[in-house]
Amino acid sequence: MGHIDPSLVDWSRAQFALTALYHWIFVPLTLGLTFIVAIMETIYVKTSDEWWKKTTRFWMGLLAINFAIGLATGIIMEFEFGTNWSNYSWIVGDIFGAPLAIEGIMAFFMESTFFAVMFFGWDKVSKRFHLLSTWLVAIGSNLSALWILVANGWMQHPVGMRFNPDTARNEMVSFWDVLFNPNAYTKFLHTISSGYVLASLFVIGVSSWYLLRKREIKFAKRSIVVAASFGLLVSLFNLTTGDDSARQIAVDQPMKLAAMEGLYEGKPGAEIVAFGILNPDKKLRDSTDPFLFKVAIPEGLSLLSYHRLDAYVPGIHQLVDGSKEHNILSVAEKMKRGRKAVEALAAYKVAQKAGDKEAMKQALATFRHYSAYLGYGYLKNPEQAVPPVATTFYAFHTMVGLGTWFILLFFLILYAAITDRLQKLRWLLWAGVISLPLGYVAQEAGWITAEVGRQPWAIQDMLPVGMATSNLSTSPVMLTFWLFAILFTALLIAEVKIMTAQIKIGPKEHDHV
Amino acid sequence: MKIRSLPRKIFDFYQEGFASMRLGKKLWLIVAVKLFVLYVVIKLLFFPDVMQEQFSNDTQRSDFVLRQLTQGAR
Repeated sequence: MGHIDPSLVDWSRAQFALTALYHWIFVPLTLGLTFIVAIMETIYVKTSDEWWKKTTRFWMGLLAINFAIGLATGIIMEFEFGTNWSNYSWIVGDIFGAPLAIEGIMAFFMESTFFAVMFFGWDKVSKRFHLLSTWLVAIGSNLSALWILVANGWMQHPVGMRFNPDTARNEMVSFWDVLFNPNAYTKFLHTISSGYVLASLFVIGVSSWYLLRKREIKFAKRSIVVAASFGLLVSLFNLTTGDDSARQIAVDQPMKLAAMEGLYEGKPGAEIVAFGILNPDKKLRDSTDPFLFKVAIPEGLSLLSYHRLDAYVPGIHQLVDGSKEHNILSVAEKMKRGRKAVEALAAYKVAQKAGDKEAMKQALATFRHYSAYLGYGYLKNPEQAVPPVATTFYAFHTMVGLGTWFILLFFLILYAAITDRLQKLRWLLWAGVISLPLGYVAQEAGWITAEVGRQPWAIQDMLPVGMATSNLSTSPVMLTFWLFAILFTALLIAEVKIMTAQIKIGPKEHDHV
Repeated sequence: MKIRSLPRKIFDFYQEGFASMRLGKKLWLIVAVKLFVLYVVIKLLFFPDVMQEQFSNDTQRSDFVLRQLTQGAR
């Protein structure tokens, strides 16, 4: 095997992270705004009030801008799979290919038909058919996200597959296990509902700006009532899906959970940190307090992770060094077993070349016995199994803190809107405007938690990122990293400029996209 | 007659839709430039499919990946 420069792995990861984070600026707004637009159009069809039609068309215009600028930004990740992550792509191809192919076909048919009716069909098709198209766009966009998150969920918790040592590929043995992977559907529900929260913040932010400028009063108030009602409902749903997702992480990825909470020493009745500052001098296995400061809720982590106040939650030390009492294997032991799996795979190939069927059978049996630990066979030391704790901890707490604020914001804004005090509470309107960028921060923080927290794995326990990369020179990866940085920044500037120009024009002049 | 008029109706629907666009024309331009940059410049110049380029069949690809997987940690 050729030598892989560690900087290549880091640049490949940085490039993928850059692409995914920029892509995720555009996607969640589309996921959520399609539903808000569908709700507004439903009110229009029910009431025949032309104000609602105007309102719907304005937000639909902003949706079109976001959709057009964001379109195909995700395709770059597929380029990167084939070039920078060719080993990974080969190994997962059959599993990853099916959900992504379904997503591509669905997106094409949905976008070329119902999107066209939604934007071109006003006054050309019946009101009800237009409304149906708008709802189908909303549902279809979200179903597209399902397939992407099924693929991502599989990487976090690989199920429904079997590794074929003859082809070096994972082959799907149960489509339903892949589709109904608990890690996938909890992630799907949490992710799309976070998109709905962002879209609600978007509508509230823009509408609050109008109210602060004493413009478009009726339009802004109506939009706020819809967005705050929708936002409050979906943020409560987001809270429950977040709880489900965290419980799934406790089962499938306990190291990620420990990093999310900065939990080094496991214990029954583990507390949850509401707010904390990590001690940067903390090292694995030393006795330094991991926190310089923290506000914690006693037994909260045990309760949220296992729904029991006294449940034991393993810490990073127990997950690295093992715990007989709690039946946790050390990483060192997993590495031994992983190496046995690697050796058995090598023995299988040797026996295959020699035509020794008995030896092949024995090697395959040994491989199957240890294959659950395969990825550990590629780690150099147990410490490599620990993800970046500070990044994971702060990203998680940023997401949760902002999510909590958004629930309060939706409640306050809805209450103020219903009691007709919104225009008097300028601080609340400013809070609405400022919370819009915070919604994006929460979105990105969620992805950082999910993806940094699962390091060092490209596929959990099966393939570390160092084994997933292609053997390339680092220079082209660095070059394309900066190319993408420039391209995406240009797209983001275009999005902001076109969007703000349309917002300044306002709904009155916004009859055609 | 109906069979011929339906495609015509669909064509007219799209044609009128595109023709009446205002902001949409600028958005389509951005989409077109972006797709050109992504597929023609970036994909062709910088993102070859490594497995397709370096090997001529799946057996070779499998052997390569298996060698990677069985020759130890990086």
